[in-house]
Amino acid sequence: MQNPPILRWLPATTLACGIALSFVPPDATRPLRNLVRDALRPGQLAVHATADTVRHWLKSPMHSSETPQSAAARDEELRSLRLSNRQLEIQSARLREKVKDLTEQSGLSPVSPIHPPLATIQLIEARVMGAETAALWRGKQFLAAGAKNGVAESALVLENSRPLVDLGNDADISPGDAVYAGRIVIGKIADVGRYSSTLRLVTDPGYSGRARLARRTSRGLLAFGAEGTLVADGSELCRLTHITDPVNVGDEVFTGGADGVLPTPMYYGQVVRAELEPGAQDWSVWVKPAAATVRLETILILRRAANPERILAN
Amino acid sequence: MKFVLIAACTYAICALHSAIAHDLAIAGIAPHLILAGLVVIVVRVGQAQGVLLAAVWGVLADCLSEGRLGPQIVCYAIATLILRYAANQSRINSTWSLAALSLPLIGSVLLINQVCRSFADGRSIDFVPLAIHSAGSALYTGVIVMGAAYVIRLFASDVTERSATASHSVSNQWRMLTE
Repeated sequence: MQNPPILRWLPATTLACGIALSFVPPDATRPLRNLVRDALRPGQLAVHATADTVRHWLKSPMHSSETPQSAAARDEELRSLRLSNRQLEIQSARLREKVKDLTEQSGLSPVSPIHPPLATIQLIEARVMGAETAALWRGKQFLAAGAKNGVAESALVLENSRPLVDLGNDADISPGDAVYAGRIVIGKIADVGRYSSTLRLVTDPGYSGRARLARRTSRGLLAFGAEGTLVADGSELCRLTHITDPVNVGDEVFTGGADGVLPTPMYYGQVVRAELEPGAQDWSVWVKPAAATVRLETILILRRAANPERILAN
Repeated sequence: MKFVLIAACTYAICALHSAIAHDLAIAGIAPHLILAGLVVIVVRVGQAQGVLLAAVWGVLADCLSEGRLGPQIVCYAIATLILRYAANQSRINSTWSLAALSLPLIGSVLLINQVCRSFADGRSIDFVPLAIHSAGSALYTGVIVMGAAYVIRLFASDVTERSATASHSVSNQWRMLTE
C-alpha cells in the first residue's frame, strides 16, 4: 500500500519549514519562545523541587557516608581551630593594649574623643547571573511573570551586553561601586537598574582606577612602591600609567589611593611587560589582571554611604 | 493513548532538559536530554511520526535556546531520517548499536546547530573547541541514550515474557481438551 502524499512529502516539508524559520528575525519569534518557556515553568519547578528533595534525602544522616571516625576527627579539628582562634584574639588584644600605651607615651594621644568616620562601607555579596539566567532576564522572562504587579527593569541594564549582577537599586548599589572576588578586583558597577546591575570588568574599555606597585622582597614581604592609574582598553592586558619609578616584570599591582575604607589593598594583578621608551619619563607598564582567572559566580560590592552616627550627631 | 504518552514524554524531557541539564554537567560538558529522548523514541515509532516528533522537539529546543528558530528543526529531522533508515535496515538490534549510531549523530547535530547559529548571527566561531565540546556532550548524551534504551528494553522484554507465559497456558489448556 502506498503512503498518502502528505506523509511522503512530510520530511521535505519539515526541512523546508525549518529553513524558512531560520530567516525569521529572533525578535519576531519571541512570543512563541515566551509561551514555551512559560508553559515549561511548572515542570521546571517540579523538577527542581524533586532534585532538592533527593539531594536533602541523600545528605540526611542516614545516608551520609561519614564514618564515626571521620566525624570525630572533624570535631577534634574544629576544637583545635577554636582554640587557636581564641589564642589569636588574646594576642590581638595584647597588641592593641601595647599600641595604646606606646601612643600615650609618645604624647600622640588625641585630645578629644575620636569621631566616628563620615563614610561607612559595606561589602555586599551578590551573584553574577549565568548566561542562561542573564538571557532570560534580558528577554524579560522573569519580568513577564511580575509585570502585572508593576515589576519592571531599566532598559539601560537590559539592553546592555555586560555581565549582570543580581542586585540593583533595591540594594542601594550605585554606578562606580567597586566589585571584588575575595581580594581580587573584578571591576566596577557600570549601570544600575531596579533589581540588577551591569558590571564593567577590569579589562573593559573605560575602566580606570588608582593602582600601586608592590615588589616581593627576598623574605617574602611586600614593599609598596609608586602609584599610578590602571586603565583598560578592551584587550586582555591593562596599562598602568603615570609610573616614573623603575618597574620589573613580576611586580604585583594593588589598589592605590588608600582612603582607609578597606583595611588592606585589593589585588589587581601582575606586571607582565615594562618598558621605558628612550627619552620618556613614564614607564609603559602592562598588567595581567588576576580577575581574568576568576570564575565569576559570587562577588562582593563595596558600598559607601554616609555614616548615620555622624549625621545624627550633628 | 500513544499520542498522550508521547506528549507527556515531550513535556517531561523538555522540563528536565531546561531545568537540570546544566546541573548534570561534568567539566562544563552537559548532556542534551532532548536529543537523547528523541533518539530513544524515534526508533520505536514510524517514520512519519518520527519526523513530526523531530520537528516539534526541534521547535521546542530552539525556543529553549537563544537565537533564531529553525536550525534544530532541520538537524533533528535529518537525524531522525538517518535513524529511521538504520532501524528499517535492521542495523539497530541492541542498545550498543543504538548508542554507537547516536554518538556521531548527536555530535554532528550539536556542532552543525552551533555553526548555523553563529553564521546566522554573524558571529565568528572557534571550530576546534566547539567540536571538542560537541563531542564531549555527544558522548555524555550517548551514555544516557544507552542507559535509557537498556531500561526500556528490560521493561519491554518483561512485558513480552509475561504475554508469552499467558499464551502458553491457553495453549496447554487447548491441548488438554483435545487429548
